[in-house]
Formats: sequence, structure tokens, C-alpha cells
Amino acid sequence: MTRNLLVASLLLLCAALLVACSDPARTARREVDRLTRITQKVEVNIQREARGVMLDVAKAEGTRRGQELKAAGCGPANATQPSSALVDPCKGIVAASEARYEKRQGEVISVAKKVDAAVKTVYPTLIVVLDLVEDIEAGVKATGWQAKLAALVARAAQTYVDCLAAYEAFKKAIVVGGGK
Amino acid sequence: MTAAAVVQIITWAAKAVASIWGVVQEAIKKAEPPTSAELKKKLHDIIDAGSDDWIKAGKAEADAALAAAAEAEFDEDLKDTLKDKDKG
Repeated sequence: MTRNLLVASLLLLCAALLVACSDPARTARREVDRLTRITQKVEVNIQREARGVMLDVAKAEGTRRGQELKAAGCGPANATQPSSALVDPCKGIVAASEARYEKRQGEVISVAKKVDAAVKTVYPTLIVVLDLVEDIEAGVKATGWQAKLAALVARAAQTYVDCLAAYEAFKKAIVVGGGK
Repeated sequence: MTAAAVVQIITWAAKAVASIWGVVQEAIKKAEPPTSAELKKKLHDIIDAGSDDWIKAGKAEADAALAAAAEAEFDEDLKDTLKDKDKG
């Protein structure tokens, strides 16, 4: 009898656990939590990589500027002055360097901004999922709510996949267009 | 089996079930994702905090690196001159 009681209790516990784990609203919340975390990681990676490329661009341009100034007989003070404060030939060298630098940095920043904006589209799709989850948890269950919830979660997950694709394209674009 | 023994067994079984239930509840609690309100707040915070500050900071850092690299070219020259002097 004791054994039967124990087995029955265990079965009851397993059933409770199964019901708890298979609750669609809870599953959706877990997925929203996961997608939020991984999207944030992608954002951090984009920012880190863009800053890295911006630094590379700056260092390469700085070296070139220094070499050109030296070759033209300009002093070290010209290396850190804006072209507007200089006189030719140093002015011309620094002005050309500034133009090159701003153009290349502009390319990197533009690509980074675009992909950052693409990544940020994931967050609103997750809020839409949570709106429905809140209704469900409050007991407002419209017809077909399970299918609708599954569709919204799938849409959010797809937006994340698109954001990953944008990130991969970004990595290629900054290396080819604005990188080393 | 006496009535006392049956009561004893039921008491023991109830205690065992209660302790297992406690463990299971703890596990469920640990596996519980944040609430919708918590997740929404987090998402709104992320969206509201979204700015281009990191680009500005990155550009400032890059500008400083450019100046340092340009100056370093002259430093190299100075080092070479000093080396030549030492040798001379």
C-alpha cells in the first residue's frame, strides 16, 4: 500500500511538472527572455566590432598622415592640428587626410547604424508577444490564442534570424568597405 | 495490520510526498522565466536607452588614435636620430 501511495504521489508530481512546463504562456515568456538576451549580445558585438574597425581606420590614416607630413618636411606639430590651422604644403596634406578619414569613418558608422537599427526591430516584436501573454495569463483567451501565440513567437524568432543575417552582412561590409 | 500501523504509514507517506513536492516546487521556481511585466520593463529600458552614444565615443577614441599614430611617425624619426647620435 505504501508503495502504491508513493507511486501515485510521484505520478501526480510528474503530471504537475509536465503541466507547468508545457504552459504555452510560460514557454513564450521563456523564449522572449532568451531572444532578448541573445539580441543584446548581437548588439554588443556590433558595437565592439564597429569600434575596432574605426580604430583601425584611424591608426592607418594617422600613420599615412605622419609619413606624408614628414616627407613634405612638415613638423610634428602639424600632425595633430586641424588643416584650417595650417599653411601649405602641410595644410593640403592634412586636409586630404581629413577628407579620406571622414569618408571612411562615415562608411563604417553608416553601416553600423543601419544594422543596429535592424537589430532593434527584434524588441518590439517581443513586446507584442508579451502583450498576448499578459492577456492569456489574465484569463482573456480569445479563440485560437494558442496558434496566435505560436505565430507571434515564431515571428519574433524570425526577426532575430534576420538580425543575425544583417549582422553577418555588417561584418563583411565594414571589413570590405570601411576596414583595413 | 493494525490501525496504528496504517496511520503511521499514511503519515510517513504524506511527509515523503510533502518533501518531494517542496523539491519540485523549488525546481519549478528556479526554472520560472521572468514575468511579462519584468520582461516588458527590460525591453522598454533597452529601447529607451538606445542611442548613438557608442558611435560618438568610438569616433572620439578613433580621432585620438589618429593623432597618436601621426605623432608616432615623428617619434620614430626622433628615436632614429638619437640612435644615430649615440652611434656617432
